[in-house]
Amino acid sequence: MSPSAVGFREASARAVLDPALREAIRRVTDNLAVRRVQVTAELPHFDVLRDRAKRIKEHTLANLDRYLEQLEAAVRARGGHVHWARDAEEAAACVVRICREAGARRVAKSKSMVTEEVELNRALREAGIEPVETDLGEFVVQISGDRPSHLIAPIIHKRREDVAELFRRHLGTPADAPVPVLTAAARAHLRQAFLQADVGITGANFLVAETGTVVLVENEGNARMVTSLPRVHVAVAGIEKVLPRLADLAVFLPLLVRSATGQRLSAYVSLLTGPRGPGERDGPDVFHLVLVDNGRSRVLADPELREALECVRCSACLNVCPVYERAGGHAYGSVYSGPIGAVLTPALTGGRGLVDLPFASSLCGACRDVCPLRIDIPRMLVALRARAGQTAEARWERRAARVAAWLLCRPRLYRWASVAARVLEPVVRRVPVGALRRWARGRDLPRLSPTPFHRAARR
Amino acid sequence: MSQYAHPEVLVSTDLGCLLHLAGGLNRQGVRLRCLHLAEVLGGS
Repeated sequence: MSPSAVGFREASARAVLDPALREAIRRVTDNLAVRRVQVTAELPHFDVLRDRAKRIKEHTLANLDRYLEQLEAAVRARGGHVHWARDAEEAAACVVRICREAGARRVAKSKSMVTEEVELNRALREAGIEPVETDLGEFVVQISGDRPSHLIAPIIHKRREDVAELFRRHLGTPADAPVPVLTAAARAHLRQAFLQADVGITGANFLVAETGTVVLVENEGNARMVTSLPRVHVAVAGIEKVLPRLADLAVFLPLLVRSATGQRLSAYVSLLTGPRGPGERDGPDVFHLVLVDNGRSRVLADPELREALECVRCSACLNVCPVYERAGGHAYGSVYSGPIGAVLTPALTGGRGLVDLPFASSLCGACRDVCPLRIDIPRMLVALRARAGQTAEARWERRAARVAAWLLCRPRLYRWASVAARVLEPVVRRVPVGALRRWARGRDLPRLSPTPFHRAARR
Repeated sequence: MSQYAHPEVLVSTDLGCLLHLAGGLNRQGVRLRCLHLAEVLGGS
């Protein structure tokens, strides 16, 4: 997660001035949100699944050390290799080392937020290895040198015409090519990437401790190509992705897919357990699992924020968030945007974005209502706001609050002060105070009423 | 909103909201009195 050039305040202030961006975001998020409501309503036991999933996640996180060791043993027993990465650098270096040892020059990737988080593509390129993103949206992100702006719809901020222009330059399609021509060109281009890749890199939607299985949920079939054609498969996953048993997928798959895309089930669900076994017709010769911590242990040890690790990255909270809809994903300055991103980014990094991300919310609670795990995002945003209040940047606010508290505890003095304030009001209004200018940019200070409320109430 | 409903007064109990609402409306040139509930009770 590279630091953003500007904070959320500035970036979102710019984004709201772009009506085309807002229209593009609204079209996709409204569509996803409506479909989510439809397909969750048709499952009478959807709320039962949610409660069950919550209990499984709480139990798994409370025993994460045990389940991770079980997972490691299960993957090794099936002939796979397991690597542990403490932070982003270790994770990226580990994948680079695996690729080097495999003699890889080109690698094919399927969509993975954790590889964005650890900036794997940059590390690979610096090592002289060419990564090709094979998810259509991520491919567009890659050739335009952009960043994903939504957890599952990475180019939600781009219009069809933007993509047509990109493809004209990179793939030679006509400038006015209709969408089927564009997707066909991408398909032909990516087919070569699958065939030429020495290593395939994926994320993981779930990891099953009992069997050592990597579960991939997708609609384009590219993840299946990435895990079946190249000789080596590397799966990169955050340590919170583990589930105890294979049967838990019966709870989590419908929750994830219905909350994410509003489908009953995604077009492809792959369960990959170790490298190609004897007698199997496809699959890699070698399988590596890279387990990434990168701040997750710290979040696990934090009772107030631990719940954020239950997130399955479905993006339902983004699609209902009034702030996300207006600000767009890039404003959050992190691969994780929207309400859950506003919690995850400061939590995982130990404070990046703490001064503005917790405030990127009206605390309306829509995110908590739609979350399949019922993650109480507003509660965590308030907890983070309290922490932001303890930073050096907030020292003047702290002092002002202390003075106000002192005054409000002394009724007689307060009455004197309220008289004095009425006398001084015209003067105070005219003094331009530098520190208050930013505060006053969007607010109007109300006029004091001629009679204080406590006097009017007594009458 | 205010252009269509033509209200005269907007009342809220949240001071933070009032500051933002009054500021936003004023900057859009919408003339609308924003009052705290206490001001209404106090008869202003």
